[in-house]
Amino acid sequence: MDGLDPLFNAPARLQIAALLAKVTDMEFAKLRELVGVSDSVLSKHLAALADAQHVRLRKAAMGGRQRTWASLTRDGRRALDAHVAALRAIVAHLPAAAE
Amino acid sequence: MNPIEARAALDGIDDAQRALALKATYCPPWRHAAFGAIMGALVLGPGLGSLWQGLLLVTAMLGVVLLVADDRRRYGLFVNGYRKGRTLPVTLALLGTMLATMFGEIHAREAGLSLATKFGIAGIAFAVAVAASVVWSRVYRRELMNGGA
Repeated sequence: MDGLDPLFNAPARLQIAALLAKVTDMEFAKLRELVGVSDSVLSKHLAALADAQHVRLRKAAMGGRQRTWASLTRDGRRALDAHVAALRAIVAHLPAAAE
Repeated sequence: MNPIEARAALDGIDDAQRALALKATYCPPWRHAAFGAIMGALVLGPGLGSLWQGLLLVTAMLGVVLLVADDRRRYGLFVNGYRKGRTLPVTLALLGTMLATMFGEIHAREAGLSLATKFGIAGIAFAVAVAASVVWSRVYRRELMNGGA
């Protein structure tokens, strides 16, 4: 299907991108809380998204500790929008009863 | 991907954004008031001449930095007010009102109007900015809650 990005096939990865699409940036711990995954799983998903240039990661000190902040890049937003549009197109074929 | 998997993926997005709305969008009254005070200071500046304008501008910028830092510390995230989405009309309406009140301040200074008039215009800017901040937060929360992914 045109527009589907294999990177977003993992539900948690899609949720991370969808959350970052609604904010300027979000701290690692808040993302972990909202997506409901462990530190290591979130780290892997963020690394995969960052490798694809969909997410930008930066370290910043807060409260005397280094924290990781994530934001969606322009490419990431474009890929997410295309992916969501493709999902909607697929769902359009879903019978009303199944929804 | 079949339609049921696609529906589940879209529902996952909606669930995550609803969780964001429920856990990280509460904005305390003092935060709205602080934003209003910053906007009021920015509007008041042009009415008082260059020295006060400079002081108020620096104070307002410092206030913005402190608010952003507090948002990041308290919520673990930051949302730029100029974001696209359903909040943009609120932001543009606020921007238009702030520019209009700034021109009002400039006119008040050039016409030699009283200090009370200048503070009155800034007071209007403060009230509008507080109201816009409240409305903006509600619209943002509603956008997250309604989903539509």
